[in-house]
Amino acid sequence: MLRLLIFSLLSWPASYSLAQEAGSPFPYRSAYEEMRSEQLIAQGLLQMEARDYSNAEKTFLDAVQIAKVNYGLRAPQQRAALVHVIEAQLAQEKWQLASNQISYFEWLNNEIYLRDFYDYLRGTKQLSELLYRASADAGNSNSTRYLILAKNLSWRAISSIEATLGETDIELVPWLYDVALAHYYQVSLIKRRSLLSKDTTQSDPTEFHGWTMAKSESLRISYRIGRDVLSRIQQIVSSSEDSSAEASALAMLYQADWELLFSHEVAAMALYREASLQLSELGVASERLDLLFGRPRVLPDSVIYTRLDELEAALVAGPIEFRAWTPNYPGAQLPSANVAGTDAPWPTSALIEFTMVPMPAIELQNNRRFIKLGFGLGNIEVIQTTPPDMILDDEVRYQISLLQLRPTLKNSSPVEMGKFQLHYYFAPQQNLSINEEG
Amino acid sequence: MPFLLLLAWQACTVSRPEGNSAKFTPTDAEVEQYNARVAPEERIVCRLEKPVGTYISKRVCRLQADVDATSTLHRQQLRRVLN
Repeated sequence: MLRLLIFSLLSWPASYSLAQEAGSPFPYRSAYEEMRSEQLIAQGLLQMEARDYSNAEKTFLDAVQIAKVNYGLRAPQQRAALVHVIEAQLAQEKWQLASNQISYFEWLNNEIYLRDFYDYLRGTKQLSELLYRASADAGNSNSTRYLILAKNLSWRAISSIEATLGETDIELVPWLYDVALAHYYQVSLIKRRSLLSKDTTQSDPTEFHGWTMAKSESLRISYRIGRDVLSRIQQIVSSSEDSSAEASALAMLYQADWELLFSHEVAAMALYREASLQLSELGVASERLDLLFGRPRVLPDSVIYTRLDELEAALVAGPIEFRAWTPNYPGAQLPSANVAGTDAPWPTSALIEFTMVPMPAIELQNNRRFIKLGFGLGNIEVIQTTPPDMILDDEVRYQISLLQLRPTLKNSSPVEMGKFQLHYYFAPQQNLSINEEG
Repeated sequence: MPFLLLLAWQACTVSRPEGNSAKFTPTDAEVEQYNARVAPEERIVCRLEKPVGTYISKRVCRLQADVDATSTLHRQQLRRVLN
């Protein structure tokens, strides 16, 4: 009996391979299948949690290789591991290697484009988030380049949607809004004296310098591009069959926000009034409108809402939450949770109380210098800081002065309203030099 | 005779293309979208330029490679004149 068992065990591999050659229903067993790509990703994530970035990178690279072998060289399954490879490299500040992997990711994503358009868009979103994450790193002297790459990626996604689904498809809306946001981040760069794009051609490694623009010219261009894309969003949602007049009125709200961000208060107020009027004509009750315009919101909104109930849900009743993204872009909030780095999640924060104050131009005339109508925060009070420290008290006062909030309106007119609370989370990379003894 | 002069003058004039003059050059958004999908040497730049003889600026769009080549040529010519 034992001999029979040993014989059958010894003869099994030969019979198995013969069965495969004969086209038997046995599944193909890859040498890599024993160690599935997904298992390695899980292992790598644990290493990332333990801040063992070097080993995590190796694990994720193995997972990419296995995905290639098991699913094919152009398989989208590689992306799941590839995202983490890039994250691990960014955490180790391996900028060049991360750039190479980002290029590979984009090549892979372009290969997916012809096979599954929506999967291509999903990959583009992942890549965009990675580029934003790379651009946020205060230690990377090349951070601006990643921001420009992210913006160009959004434009390419827009071009591909136009080519595939048409120039007025609703799918364009979030991508167009991404372009506007990228321009807002661009203008908030403090380190930049002028915008200079450096690039190289594929055949020639020498750097190709783009046009150098003065800061004011760059600001004007960013404003115009943002205004144009938001106007286009408004046209798309107005003409779309899937959309509604409500979406059109809300799109106008974002146009107003953009004008306000660039200190065009008069144009902003006209647009806010028009949005309010349109919503009112659609039958939105005045109580709902007062609630909508009665809660300030830090601008620009990270997400564009095309439905009123979604926007109302985002206007939570408690303190306004603001998560500062990075010292690279002062006054900008974290675009999405996926863009957050691997650092500890916002350990430093402050709770403040304030009143929204419309400041008429007459009160702002000072030393014969005319200052335009503005909207700001008044009666600012720092309720608590975590950890308690006077440095944080001063710092949060400075940082909230950089924020622009959507003004509080009643019957389409700016009114003083309060008291509101804002929970301000400092950017994880912010060097605050906190006194540990408090 | 005046009729012939008028006819000759009309033959010499070039009529302006009809439509909004802002449409003659692409918008900043269109330029940026185009530049995002072409190689760096094929990118275009648009800027306000003051042509010789007028203070009125005009928006001109050029190929980046042309701008660079013209700048290099002008620098070379200037160097030759100065030497």
